[in-house]
Amino acid sequence: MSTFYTGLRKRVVLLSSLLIVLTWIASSLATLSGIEQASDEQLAQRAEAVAWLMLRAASQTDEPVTGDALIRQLEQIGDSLGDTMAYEFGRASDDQAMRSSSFPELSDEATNGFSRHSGDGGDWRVFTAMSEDQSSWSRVAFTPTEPKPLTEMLVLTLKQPLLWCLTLFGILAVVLQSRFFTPLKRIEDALAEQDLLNPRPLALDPARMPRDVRPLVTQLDRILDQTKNLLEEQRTFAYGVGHELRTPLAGCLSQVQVAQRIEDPSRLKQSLAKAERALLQMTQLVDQLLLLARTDPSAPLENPSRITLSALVQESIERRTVTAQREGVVLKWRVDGPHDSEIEAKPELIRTLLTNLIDNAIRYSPRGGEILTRVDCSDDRWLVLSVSDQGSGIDAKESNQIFSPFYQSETGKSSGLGLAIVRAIVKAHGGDVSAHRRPMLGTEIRVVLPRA
Amino acid sequence: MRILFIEDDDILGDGLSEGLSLLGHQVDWLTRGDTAAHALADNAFDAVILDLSLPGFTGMELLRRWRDEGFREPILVLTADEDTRRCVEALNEGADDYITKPIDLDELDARLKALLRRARGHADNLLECGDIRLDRSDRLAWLGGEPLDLSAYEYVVLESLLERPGRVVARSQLEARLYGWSDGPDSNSLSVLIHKLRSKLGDNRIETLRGLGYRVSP
Repeated sequence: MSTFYTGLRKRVVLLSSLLIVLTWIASSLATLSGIEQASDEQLAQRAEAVAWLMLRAASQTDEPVTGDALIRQLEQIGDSLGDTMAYEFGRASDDQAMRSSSFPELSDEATNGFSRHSGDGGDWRVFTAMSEDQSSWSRVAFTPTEPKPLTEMLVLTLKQPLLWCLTLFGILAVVLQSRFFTPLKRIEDALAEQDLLNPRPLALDPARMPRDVRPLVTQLDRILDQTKNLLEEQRTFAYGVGHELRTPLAGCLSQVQVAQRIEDPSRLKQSLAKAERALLQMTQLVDQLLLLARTDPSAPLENPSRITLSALVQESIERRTVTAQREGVVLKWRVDGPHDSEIEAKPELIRTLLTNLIDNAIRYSPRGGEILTRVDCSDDRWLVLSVSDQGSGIDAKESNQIFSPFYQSETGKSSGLGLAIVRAIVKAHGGDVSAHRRPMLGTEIRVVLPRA
Repeated sequence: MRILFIEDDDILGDGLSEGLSLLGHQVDWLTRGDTAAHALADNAFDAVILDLSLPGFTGMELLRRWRDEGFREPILVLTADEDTRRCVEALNEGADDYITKPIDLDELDARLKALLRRARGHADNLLECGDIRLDRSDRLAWLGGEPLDLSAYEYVVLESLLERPGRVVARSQLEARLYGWSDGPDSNSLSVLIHKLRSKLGDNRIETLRGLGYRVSP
């Protein structure tokens, strides 16, 4: 049966052929047994009529016909009709009933109506007619139609239009199965054309697809689209890494080349110090890349500890105050709501998250601006951490992109990896992060974290 | 060569302007696109080095703006992209050349010289006027086949004069080439340089046109 599973086409052809043959056999049997029943019924009716006629003819006339003569005559009629009926006539007063020679030996008492007997010479159906005073009776026996062998029946039905219809149906099924599989073939062709390094939608019009194949096409398109986005992200990432490394690399190279050309020791020192700064920038970038690579948003946190978010907020604000002052920005923070702010988290990751959010806000703040970090504890399942600045605000179309690695805003202030790391950390803690334009001015980055 | 250099990264900006100064160029370095927008209108530069990603205006916006306003200074674009599409876009917007970070100082210098040659219609790095010859690639000058011993400032003045032999170069132009936006050592230092050059070239080779400037003649 292994071939049965090898091909869908083969399966369809086999199944439909099997169905056709079964239908044919079933319909043949139904037709034939219908015919047989009908002919048996006819015989039974005749037998009944003849039995009553015999009884009347023998008992009503003044000069009764002798049963014997009656039987002879009936046998003659039966012969000319091609019947195989046998007759019996008897009177209660006589010892011996008259009967056809072929009449079966019946053991039971005679009662009105049909009865079945088997034994002497095969199966018999017998109709018994009894006079009202029970003084005389007549019986007609006939053999029911023999069921014909199956092959004979099938040959018989060959002559019927039903068979021609079924044959035609079978041929059509074989011919049409290629059409039947056209949609699958088209999907196969469309997939064969795909380059997985540059996936495109299948370009199959769902309206022209059979309804039950449409979900398959939709799912395939969805996977191709996801692959495309993934590749796009990967390319952007690799490109971003190169781009972000290039500037400090160029700075370092230029300073080293300057250092090679100058003799003044103090200027030489300056150049080398700047080259070192560029190297530190690159180191920082590499550290961030590693952090991003390590923070797997889909894996559960290993050994988290219970921490109070508001305490970490306070600590981070204090650590960034000097930087903020240098940029002329004021850092404020507050905790709202009746509950505590405990979460299950990796404290070093939450510190990085807070630092990145605050640094990002500082970068986009005007001088004299204020940054508010707020921990909202009013919900009993979630903590909401928000950092709002008074910068120029974010475009709706940018609000998702800023969390992508190396997304560069139009202003040219590279957000680099900071917010991408924020997103990775939040996801790793089972939370979510979003950016919103504030009604008056500025941007609010909102982090939702599950409570401990 | 007086160069306008626009780059927002302070280490790279510092390194390249320092390096180009060491190679004898006068570099004016700006860090923002918006502050650089009017720099060409108010000053004469021989070439512009423009980073494409800048705060204020992007490099591409500056490029478009300058070319729309009719400035024809050679512009060399700096890019951190491997992607040539942005470079092609920059070239189409009127940039004359591009260079990808990280940047080799000597390559940058050679490209700037090539840009200047093309802008001035010279085929090579040699400038000549009579028996005075100057080779930009080696920063050497000769008088009648004898090498001239010139200071860096003297060289810049002679180079500026030789770029347009027989035509007047304004005092202010020469001073800008020499000192950029920083103040020169003192107001008559250019006169001192001319005097020194005359002593090396012969008195009648550099003419003073009072109120206009100087001219070199064969």
